[in-house]
Amino acid sequence: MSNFHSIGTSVTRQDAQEKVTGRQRYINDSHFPGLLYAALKTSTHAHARIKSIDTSKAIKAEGVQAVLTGEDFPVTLGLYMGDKPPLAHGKVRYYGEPVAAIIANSEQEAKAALNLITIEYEELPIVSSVRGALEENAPLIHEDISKYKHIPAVIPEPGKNISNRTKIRKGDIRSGFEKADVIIEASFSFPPGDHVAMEPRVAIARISSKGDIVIKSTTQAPFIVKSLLGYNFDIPIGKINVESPPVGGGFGGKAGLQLEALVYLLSRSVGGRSVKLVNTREQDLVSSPGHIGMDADVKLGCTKEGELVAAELTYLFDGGAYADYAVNVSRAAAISCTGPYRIPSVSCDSLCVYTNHPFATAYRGFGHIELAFAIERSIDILAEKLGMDTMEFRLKNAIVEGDTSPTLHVLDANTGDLPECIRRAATMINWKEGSKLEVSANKVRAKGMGLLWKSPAMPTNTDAGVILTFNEDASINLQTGIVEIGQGTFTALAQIVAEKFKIDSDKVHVVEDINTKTAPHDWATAASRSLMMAGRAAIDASNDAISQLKRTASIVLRCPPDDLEVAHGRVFLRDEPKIGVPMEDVAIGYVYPNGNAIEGQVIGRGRYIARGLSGIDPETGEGHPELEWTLGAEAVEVEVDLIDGSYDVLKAVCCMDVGTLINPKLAHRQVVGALGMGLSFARNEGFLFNNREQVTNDDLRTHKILRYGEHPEYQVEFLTTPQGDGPYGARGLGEQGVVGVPGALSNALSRAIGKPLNVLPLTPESIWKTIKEVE
Amino acid sequence: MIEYKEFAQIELNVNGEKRKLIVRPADTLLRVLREKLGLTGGKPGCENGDCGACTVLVNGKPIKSCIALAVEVTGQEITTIEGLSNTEIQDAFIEEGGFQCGYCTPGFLVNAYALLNEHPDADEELSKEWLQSNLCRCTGYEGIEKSIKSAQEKIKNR
Amino acid sequence: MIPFDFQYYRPDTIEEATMTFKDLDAKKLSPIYYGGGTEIITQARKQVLSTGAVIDIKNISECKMHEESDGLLIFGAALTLTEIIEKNLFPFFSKVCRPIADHTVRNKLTLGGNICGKLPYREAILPLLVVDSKVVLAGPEGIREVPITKAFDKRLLLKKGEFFVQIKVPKDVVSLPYFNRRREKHTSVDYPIINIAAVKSESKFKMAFSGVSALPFRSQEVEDFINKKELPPEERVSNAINKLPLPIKRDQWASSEYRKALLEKSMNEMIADLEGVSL
Repeated sequence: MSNFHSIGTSVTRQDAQEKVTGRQRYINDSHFPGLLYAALKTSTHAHARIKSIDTSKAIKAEGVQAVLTGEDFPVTLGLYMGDKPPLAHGKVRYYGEPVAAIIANSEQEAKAALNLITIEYEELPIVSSVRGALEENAPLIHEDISKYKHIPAVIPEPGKNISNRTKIRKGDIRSGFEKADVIIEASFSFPPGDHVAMEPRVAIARISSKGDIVIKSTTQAPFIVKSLLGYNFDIPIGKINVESPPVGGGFGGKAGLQLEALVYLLSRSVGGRSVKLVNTREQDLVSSPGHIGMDADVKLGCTKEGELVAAELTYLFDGGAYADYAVNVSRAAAISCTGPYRIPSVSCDSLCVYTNHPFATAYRGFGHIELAFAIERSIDILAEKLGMDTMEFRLKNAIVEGDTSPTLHVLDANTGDLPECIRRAATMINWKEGSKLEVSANKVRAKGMGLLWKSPAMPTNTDAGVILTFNEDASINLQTGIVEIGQGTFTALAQIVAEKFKIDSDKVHVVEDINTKTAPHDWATAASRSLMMAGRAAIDASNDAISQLKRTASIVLRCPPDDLEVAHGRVFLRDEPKIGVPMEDVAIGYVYPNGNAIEGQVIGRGRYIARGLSGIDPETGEGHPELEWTLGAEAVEVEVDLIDGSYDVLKAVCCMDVGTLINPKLAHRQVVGALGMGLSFARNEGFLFNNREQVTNDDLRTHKILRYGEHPEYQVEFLTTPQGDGPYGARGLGEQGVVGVPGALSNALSRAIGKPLNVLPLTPESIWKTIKEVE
Repeated sequence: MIEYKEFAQIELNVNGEKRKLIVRPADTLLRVLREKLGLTGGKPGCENGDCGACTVLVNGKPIKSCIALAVEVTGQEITTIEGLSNTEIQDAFIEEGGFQCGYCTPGFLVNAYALLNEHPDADEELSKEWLQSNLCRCTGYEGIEKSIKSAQEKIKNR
Repeated sequence: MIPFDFQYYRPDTIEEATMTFKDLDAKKLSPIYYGGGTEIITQARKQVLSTGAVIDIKNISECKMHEESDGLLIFGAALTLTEIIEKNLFPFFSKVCRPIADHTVRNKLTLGGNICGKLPYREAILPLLVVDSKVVLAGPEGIREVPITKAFDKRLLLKKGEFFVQIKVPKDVVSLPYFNRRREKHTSVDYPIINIAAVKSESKFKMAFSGVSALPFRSQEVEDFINKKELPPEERVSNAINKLPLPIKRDQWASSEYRKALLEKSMNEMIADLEGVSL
């Protein structure tokens, strides 16, 4: 670490001052006269045919420019399967689905006119659960599923409410279970929920007179928005530009194609005029996609020595009314289905199921936080049945280099040291003193563990790029396609470039507002791969820039370029450092005393594309879709009141193997934030539905997330097994912290009360009810 | 008696400056600050009084500006995040990681500033009581808690 | 934002307020009185409330009174909960007000708003319900002073055009032993799933409940049963619970079984605390 110039230092974030003075501009912090405002009318039914929509009064209201319904946009869109109309068409499939849009001169006029639209619905039977959706004569949510375009990796089942099924068949499951001395079977579930980013989604669209489209939105994935708009609406992609300013929290909820498609259509409907659409909090929670729900059935077997031998897994994901990212979440869960454990025989069917719930998109953890809940609880149940300490059981079965994943991917030397992560987490939580301790007659303190692993679920050609240009003072501008959503990746990228040039990271100015016409291509700011891939691209760009600097300098200094070094703002002879030129003299061409100018500006070009990825076999799941694995262990300590089920989370710890730490404090804070988010999810979150499947907790008064003061003492440790193909050996870590927490929390609470808690969220009443249940 | 029928011609005292404005009686303080005065530090996170991203000070007391009408606070001293600079709490937030995406940050800073102004020796229970009014999704609250303690130290050593 | 328009009035006297109400009502503007406005603004934004005019009572001096006078503690309806908590004239009252909403909201939420608003909790009334308070109400027909037991039955009984001006509490209630138990679904910033406020006056419990049923209440029958000292505490509690005037509710915050369990636990704790009986 001390050999590094900038890597490993916790430099202050570049945007810190702007953020603590309130000067940071987010998308909704500016307005201009003439910007039209759109408001949405959303469905009050979970499943109903739209009999009629009367917009005649609304269109005549003050300031209204246009009123649009699904009839105006008879298309279906989607990331992987085109199943969703931008405005409901024919029928509504979830409570809160946008049914009509009003475009008006002002926000007030648009919202005032909403009540003037009358909609007649004919209620349809509702599908309120995944198990209900899969029953023999369940109502079909998508009757026309066979007509939808979809990518080959998504395999829907027509005539059923199944949007995707991914299979893993590793080894032989029957003979696997024959080797088992102890077998457990258990089921788990949790409802769909939401990301609850603090900034609600916003999208603005305009179309120029020559048909150039500009979209500005709170997107994590400007390039995906650009290309999907092009594909779905048959527009030459080169005519689309997407702008993405810093975002107030994404967590996966702002990836993909969301309000952008609708707002483009709205702008098109008013001759290309600028139209802005801002989600109310209620719409952001319910109408825009949220976090997937799940039911899982697990059968797990081990030998009497505690060695896992077989796993039979059925993951039923509640993707809600539309496929969106959910079909990939269920696929990602299949690819990682066992959690980070060595299991030779695995059979997994991971289904993405349609229900009449608000639909799901990418969410921090992407299939891993969900499967980990089921797996980590199952591990505890199995270990306890065997009579083995649950931490020791994990240690014994932790996946290590040389083992295979469910897709038969061999974990290579880039794999982290999971056993050591487990040991450290155990130390931090003081596992040795006991995992269940009586505090008083009615109070118990207990601990639980949950392991984590995640690899990015992304296309095999996922890439990143970095462009470096130079200023007259030799400071460097860095352009990337990564979006700032709160993770501070820009600062880490600046540090990587600063490392290469041996300059202060202050001298590397990262361009904060992304523009797809000027930024290099980037898949999306998601999947915890931004640092890894953009970091590699930054190194590549730096190398490119350095070789150009050396070339110019070599002419001036009359030496071979290979003899030169670039550091501390100079280009100089490695063996005679006094001989050199300041970087500013060669960064934008060199000018001789007589005025002759040579070479020109340095433009550092860097790129990185995922290496060696492939799809998976549709029958067995064999393949190599995973870029890198980040592994770790988490543990939680709780104190529970056995009379009323109330509890406090005292401590939450994580030991994660992240390779090189570019910025240790930023990394720490990411993981702590993830621990908090995982805890919030497990202890309190999820949509609540009434008997008409309407969401009853659609504002932040009723949809609760973790509050200040409810947070535990956090402790985080990092291991640094290098990621061979990561920038300076760094590995992705943005999401991973959430993954093990629900398992750890439910394991701790189950241990405390001596009964299994297999359903989230873990509220005091749910614990009280379980304590009271007669066996 | 004050009467505003259609439009209200009011004067707001914001960050030490007296500003003359024309507003609707139904306009919230949050919207007026943002849309008429360009003070966009306070944010609409829910417009329901739940998240605190819109917090400003009125006569030194934290108020959620999304549940206050502009016409209610005429003649009172309003301080927004833009009126705070070089404070101990802002420095602490930078050093201790009190922010990540930054959206909830102005609201937290204004509330924390008022807390430490009124109760420089606030203990954990009092800090929790005040700061529970604000939501953060990114930090898990550790950085914010550390920032409060750090700011208290800095204030003591002024 | 609130997409419709309303007029705003801020009268300086009670008479101005009630006359303005009468006037606006005649003009069919559906006027409403406005305290802190927190509920009015959020409900107007969601368009579940509509009005043509609001009458802000915060400038009326009687509504801001906050003092002891002639052996009475006077609390104006326009006082914010924070003001009540900080001045702390009546500690039991402060205690019950403290967990309502959150700290920043309490800087704006008024006593009148909490008691007269649409939300069915009205927790600030609980300590006032169990002592001999008198409410002062003002309307177009004049000002009247009503004992709380007559003025409040699950809600404050206001005639058309009337508003709640202040409440008067005899100052000796401050010395009464009291008990308060508020429980929420999970997080402390939330509506209550049960909230019990009780005093022991002349060896008898007087209790008010919120969050348990559809609306807050005080019940003589419940008190009769809880005060049967000859019976063991658990029996007094379970009998009292069976006599609740309204059914224990079930909603997205809690089931009725859980509420009942918490009620039992809390009422037993109350007896133990205030009668020195060990559990």
